[in-house]
Amino acid sequence: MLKRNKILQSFLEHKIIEEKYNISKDGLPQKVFDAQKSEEAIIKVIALIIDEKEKRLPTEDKQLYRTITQYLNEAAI
Amino acid sequence: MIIKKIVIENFLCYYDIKEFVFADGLNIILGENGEGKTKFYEALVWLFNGNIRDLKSLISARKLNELEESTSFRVEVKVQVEQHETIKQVSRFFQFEKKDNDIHTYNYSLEGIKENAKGEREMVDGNGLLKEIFPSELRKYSMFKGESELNIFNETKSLKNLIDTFSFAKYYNKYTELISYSEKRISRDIDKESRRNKKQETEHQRLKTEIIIYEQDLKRYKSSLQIANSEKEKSEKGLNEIENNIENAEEIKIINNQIKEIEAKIQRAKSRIDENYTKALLDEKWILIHFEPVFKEYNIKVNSLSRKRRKLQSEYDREIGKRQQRQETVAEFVKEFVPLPIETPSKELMQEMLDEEVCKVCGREAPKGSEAYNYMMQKLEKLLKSLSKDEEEKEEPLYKHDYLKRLRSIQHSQESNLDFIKRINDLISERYEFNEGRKKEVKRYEKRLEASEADKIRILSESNQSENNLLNALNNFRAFGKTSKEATENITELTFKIKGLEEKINTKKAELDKIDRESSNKYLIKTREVIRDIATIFKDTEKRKFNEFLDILEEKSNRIFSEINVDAFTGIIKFKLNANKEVRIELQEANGQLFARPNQSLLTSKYLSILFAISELTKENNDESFPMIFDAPTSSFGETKTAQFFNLLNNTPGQKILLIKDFLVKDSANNLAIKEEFKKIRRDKAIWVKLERPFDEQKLHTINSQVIHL
Repeated sequence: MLKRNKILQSFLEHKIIEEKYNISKDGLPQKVFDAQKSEEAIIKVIALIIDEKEKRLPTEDKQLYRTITQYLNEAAI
Repeated sequence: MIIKKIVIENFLCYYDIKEFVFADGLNIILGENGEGKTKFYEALVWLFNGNIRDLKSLISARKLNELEESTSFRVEVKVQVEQHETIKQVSRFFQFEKKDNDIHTYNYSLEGIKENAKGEREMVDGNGLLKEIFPSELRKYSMFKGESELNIFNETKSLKNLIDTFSFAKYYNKYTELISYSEKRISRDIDKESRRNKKQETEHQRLKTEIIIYEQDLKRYKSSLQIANSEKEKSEKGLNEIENNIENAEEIKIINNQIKEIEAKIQRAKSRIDENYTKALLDEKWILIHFEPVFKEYNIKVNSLSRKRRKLQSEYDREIGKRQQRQETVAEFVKEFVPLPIETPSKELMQEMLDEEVCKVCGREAPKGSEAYNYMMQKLEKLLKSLSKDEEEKEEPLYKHDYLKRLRSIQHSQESNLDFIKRINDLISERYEFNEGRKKEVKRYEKRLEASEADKIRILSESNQSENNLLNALNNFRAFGKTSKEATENITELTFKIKGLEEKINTKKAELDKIDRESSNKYLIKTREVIRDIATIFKDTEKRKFNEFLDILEEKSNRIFSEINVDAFTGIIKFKLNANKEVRIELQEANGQLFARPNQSLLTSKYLSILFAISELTKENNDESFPMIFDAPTSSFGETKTAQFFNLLNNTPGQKILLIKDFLVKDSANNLAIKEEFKKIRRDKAIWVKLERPFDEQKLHTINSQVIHL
């Protein structure tokens, strides 16, 4: 669990998040669980990927790609 | 994971069952050479790696010797560990028995047992459990035999594996793989959409083709850049190594020339030495040195003889002179008239006339003493003289042979001989002095030669290089310099080309994106943008984590490195990532220069520092540490440094098992004892392995290693 959140933090530290998506550091979720509920699509997608990849039986890349695109479609970015 | 206990049964020098109980922290196993330390390590290697071949050779010779017909025993190595609050045990074993006077092995097996907190035991697959408690990729960096095995980081591949194994960056790899796949997929989906628009299809295709060509070029240039970088790195490394040795190489060259010159001088001086004094003493008439008085006597005699001879000769000459005077007087008398022929009258007639005192020519008497008589007498004498003129001329000299001349000649030659003989002494002295001078010269040159040879040895040992290597280095210096210069020029050119191509590709991609935006679904375009951004985030994060790992590893390694080498020069351990994404470890001086000639002790402490740093990092990243097991890792340290090293280890987290031969001493009765200094070593556990005494050093079946927990 700790590892999942650490990974999320390391991704969200990237300057793109603040510079391009205008998401301030203060508003960043600390946990994958919280990030999955974020209103920011990019944060949600990252959290989704971490959640899927850190499962005991990780989802295959092909399937995960479909899930990501489907999610982004539904989120109507 | 902590090793709680290792049990060895009938394995090599360990007869019957021997237990090693370990603590978390620093465990030291002491043992003299040949008393069972390395066999303990080999038992662990056999347990972890297994080897079914030649099982008989693993059986304790003492047990074999005791083995009776139809009885059987077991060889076993068992490790009991604590991992995640569970006791786990892995045991590798086989049975052996004596049958028909022959040894048979059977039931080879690897067995695993797990025991939970309630003490319930469960049999599990031994291989699976072994991987679970101590994965082989971790063992590779946790178990080392001797100092030479520590040198696993010299290959960039090993270091890359190490970082991949221990770095937190490895967790990001699966994310970059996923996102790369997603990038390709979304681009393909957008392509499909764009191609549906027939108007844009041609332009879209053209741009795609151009991008593919540019990307192919880019790939080629990048590959060339990689080669150029590698060449530059190699040649600079070569130059760096040579630079450190170039002065030494030049000095060696100068010294070699000096040695050549000195050797030639020695040869020349030696060739001038002629110590054949015997020849001068014997062959050069030295034996005649006492001949001088004889020669003096000879001279006196010869001189006396000469005088006497001259006197006699003088008298003789005077006599001859008188006779000649008489003849001249007769001639004067005859001169007054015309004489008769000299033979008229004859000699006989003349003699007859004189005898009869009558001149029978004129018929007058000529008594003795008369004028006529005297005239006849003169006439006769004149006749006789004329008759005997030839006889007179042929008159024998006083000395028929002039021996004196020969004697004088001998005298002269002997005089010069004697002079020479008298000088032989001086000549030999002169020769001796000359020879001594040359010998001194040779000695002086030999001293210079010795000094030059000593200089050469000093330079070679300082440079840690063979003479050939140094001289080759001198030859390679220019070649490396040329390669480095060419590679640098190549890199500049290729970097420029790559930058240009990347710009072109970006422009083309932007054009393509524009077409995509105009002809594709907005949702797809937006999705691609998000995926691209996530790709940037994932890739950058993986790179950042890798660099962070290197920074932390470097910082930790250097901290441990300086702690091991208290009050000693260490240098700085640097992890260098090159353009080809390979990591190299360098030992640098404070000014960033490569420290090219570290001694073995420094190298060992460098490797140990890195390994312990990795161990620390593993614990921090995995919340679990693994034991580190070293057999004789500090042979080059010396006891003081070893003591410092152990005290340092005692303060570092994680379990360590070290096998060493230090701190043991033989007392007056030749019995082994532990030195007092060992009491000062802070440790969590100490074990002493020693052979049971007495034993016969020529009979293996008398050998049994005892395990003494101190």
